[in-house]
Amino acid sequence: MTPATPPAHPPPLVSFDRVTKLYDGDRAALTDATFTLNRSEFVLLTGPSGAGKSTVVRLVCGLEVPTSGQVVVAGEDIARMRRRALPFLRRSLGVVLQNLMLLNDRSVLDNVALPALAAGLSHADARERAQAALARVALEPAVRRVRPDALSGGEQQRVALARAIVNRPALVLADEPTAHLDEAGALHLLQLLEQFVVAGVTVMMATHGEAVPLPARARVLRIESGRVLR
Amino acid sequence: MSALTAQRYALGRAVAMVRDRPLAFLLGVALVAIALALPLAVASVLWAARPALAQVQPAPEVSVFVSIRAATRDVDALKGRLESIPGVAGVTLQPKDAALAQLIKRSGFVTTPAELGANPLPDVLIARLQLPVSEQSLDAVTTTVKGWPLVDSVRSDLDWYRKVRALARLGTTAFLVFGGLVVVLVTLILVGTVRLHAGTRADEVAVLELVGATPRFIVRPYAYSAALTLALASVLALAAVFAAHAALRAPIANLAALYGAPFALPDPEPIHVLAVLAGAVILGWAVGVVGARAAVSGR
Repeated sequence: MTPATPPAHPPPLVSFDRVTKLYDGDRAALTDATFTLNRSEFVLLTGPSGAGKSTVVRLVCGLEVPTSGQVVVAGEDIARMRRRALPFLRRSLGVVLQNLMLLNDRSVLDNVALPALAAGLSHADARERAQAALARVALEPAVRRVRPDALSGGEQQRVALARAIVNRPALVLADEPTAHLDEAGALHLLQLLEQFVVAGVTVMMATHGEAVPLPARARVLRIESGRVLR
Repeated sequence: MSALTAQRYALGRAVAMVRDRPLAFLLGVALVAIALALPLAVASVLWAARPALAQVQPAPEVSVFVSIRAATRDVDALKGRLESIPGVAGVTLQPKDAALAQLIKRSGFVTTPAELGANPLPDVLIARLQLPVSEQSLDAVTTTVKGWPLVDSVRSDLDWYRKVRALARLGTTAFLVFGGLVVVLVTLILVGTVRLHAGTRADEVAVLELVGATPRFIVRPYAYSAALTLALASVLALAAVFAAHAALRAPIANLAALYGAPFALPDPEPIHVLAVLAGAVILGWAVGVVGARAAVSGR
C-alpha cells in the first residue's frame, strides 16, 4: 500500500462554481460566478453599488443559498448543509456586514463577547477574548463599557471587526467596511486586515470605493452587473 | 461549563428583557394569574370537599322487602344469605318496628304501635353493592333474590344511581373542559406574546444567527422569560386561592354546621402547590420555545 501524500496545493477555503443567485424569481444578483479564495489570501471584491458584492458575502456565510451552482466553504456545500450545521460553520467565519448590526442594548464589550459565548466559551473566557479582540483593533479601554451608539462611525466599524475576529476565524468577510470612514480610518482598517492575512487568516473585502488604497498583497476580483470579471 | 454558561447567559438576557419592558411583563403576569386563579380555586375547593362528596356519593342499593310472616330468625337467615352473594358490600336491616315508630312520628298521629295491633310494615334488608356495578349484575342480584322464599318484593335504585353518576361525570367533564380551555387560552396568549416580543428583537436574532448561535441558544432567553412569567402568575394565582380559602372558610363552616355536617375548608396541600408551580414552569418553558421558534423561523 502506498502511503497517502498530502496534496501539493491545499483545497481553496471558498469556491464558487457557476453560481447564479436570483431574487424574486428573475432578478439576477449574481450570474454564473466562478472563483476561489485560497487560504491566507487577501481578496478585494470590487465593483459599483448593486453589482452583487453583498450577495457574494451573504452566500459565503450561508445567509443565502444559490439559485444554481455550488458554493463550498471550508469543504461544506452551503446549499446542501443541514440547517443545524450552519451555526458551526459560521463560527469559523468573521463577518462585518454593511449594516454593522451592533446591539445598542449592551456594552461594546458584551457585543464583542457575544460570538464567543454563542460558541460555548465560559463567560470569563469570552470576555477575555473580547478584550483581546478590542485591543487588536486598537479601541481604547474607556469605550468598552459604553454602548455602541455612543461611538463614532469609525469606532463602531472597529467594534464590528473586533466581534468578527473574536472567535479567531479562518475567514473574515467584510462588506464595505470603509464606507463610513475617512481616509486615515480606511487606511488603518486595511492595515489591520493585512495583519490578519499575515497571521494566516483569509480576508475577503467587498468595496465599491476607488478611494480605497489597494493593499499590495491583495488579489482583486471585479464584479459588474452580477458577473465576476477576471 | 459551556452548558452552564449558556444557561447563565439566557437567564441574564431574560432578566434584561423583563427590565426593558417591566409594565408589559407585569401586565402579562397579571393576565395569566387571573386566568389561572379561577380553575385553580374551583379545583382546590373540590379537592378539599372530596371526602364530604365521597360520603354523599351513593352506591347502588337493593331493597329486599321481607314477608310479614317471617320470624326474626328467618330475617337473620335472609340477611346472611344476602351477604354471601358476590358483589354485595354489606347488608343492613331496617326492622319493621323501627320503621313503624318512625312512620308514626312523622305522620303526627298520637297513637302508639301497640294500639295498632299487628305491625303492617315489613322488615327491609338493604344490600349495598360494591362499585363499580353493571346493570347486568344488579339485575342478576334482583332476580336471584326475588325467587327466595319469604321475600315479598325486591327493588333497586339503579336509575337514581345512574342519574347521580351521570351528573357527576358531567360536572367533572365540564370542569376539565373549562380548565383545559383556560390552559389553552393561557398558552395561546403567551405564545403570541413571546412571538411578538421575539419579533421586536429581530436585530438581536439576526446578529446571533450571524455569529453562529444555535437556534437553541437563540430561543433559550425567551423560554426563561415565559417560564418566569408563568411561574410568577401561578404564584399570584395560588395566593388568590389561599386568600379565597381564608375568606370562605368561616362561611362554609357555618353553612355546613347548619346541615349538621362538620366540614372545614383546608388550604391547598403543599404537594399540589409544588405541582402547580412545576407545571407552570414547564409549560412556560415550552411556550417560550414554541413562540420564539415561530418568530425566528418566520423571519
